Amino acid sequence: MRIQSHPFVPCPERPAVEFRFDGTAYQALQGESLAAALWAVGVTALRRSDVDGAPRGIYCGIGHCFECRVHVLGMGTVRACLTPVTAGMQVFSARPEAAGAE
Amino acid sequence: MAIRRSIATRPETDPWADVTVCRCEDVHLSDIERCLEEGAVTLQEVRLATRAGMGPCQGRLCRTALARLIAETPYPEATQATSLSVHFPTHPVRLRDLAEE
Repeated sequence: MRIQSHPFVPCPERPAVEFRFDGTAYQALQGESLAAALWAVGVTALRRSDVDGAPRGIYCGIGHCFECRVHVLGMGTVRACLTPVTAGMQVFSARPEAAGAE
Repeated sequence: MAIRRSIATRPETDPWADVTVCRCEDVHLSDIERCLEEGAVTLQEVRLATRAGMGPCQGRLCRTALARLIAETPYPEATQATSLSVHFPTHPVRLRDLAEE
């Protein structure tokens, strides 16, 4: 779900880019953050807690809390709220080696 | 307990809910309370015993709450002022990036 129009915030047309999260392909808008892209396609659980396995997602959304940390192939651990999506980006909720990818 | 009443921000908030104090390390209010009851009187002691403040955000989100909770210690005469140590880099950085600069 995305905001398509807004009274005063511009919603310009942007090209779609494809990326993968835990192997599943999704469409994002070029330049938006990983957090926004995943939220737009309904993915709100970005990782699982190491302690109790509870799903975790965006918390502060401004790069302070590291709650939204994900693994991007070639970049390592990044904060989804600060990382712009690029075409072909491969994102994982856990370290790729642990997930059996790579 | 006084701690729980003091952190309830709205009347309808359940004062007995076991809130998460440190999200990075999954440290709950009950863990902090137990630590204080067992005699921790400094922020560093709570941090070392519970891992609160040791996660990726290095206490950015929880240090204020921890400082407030320390004030609720059952042993106020033993409380000493400390600060949570923060381990650099404050933003996790790959060594590869430092080496390439």
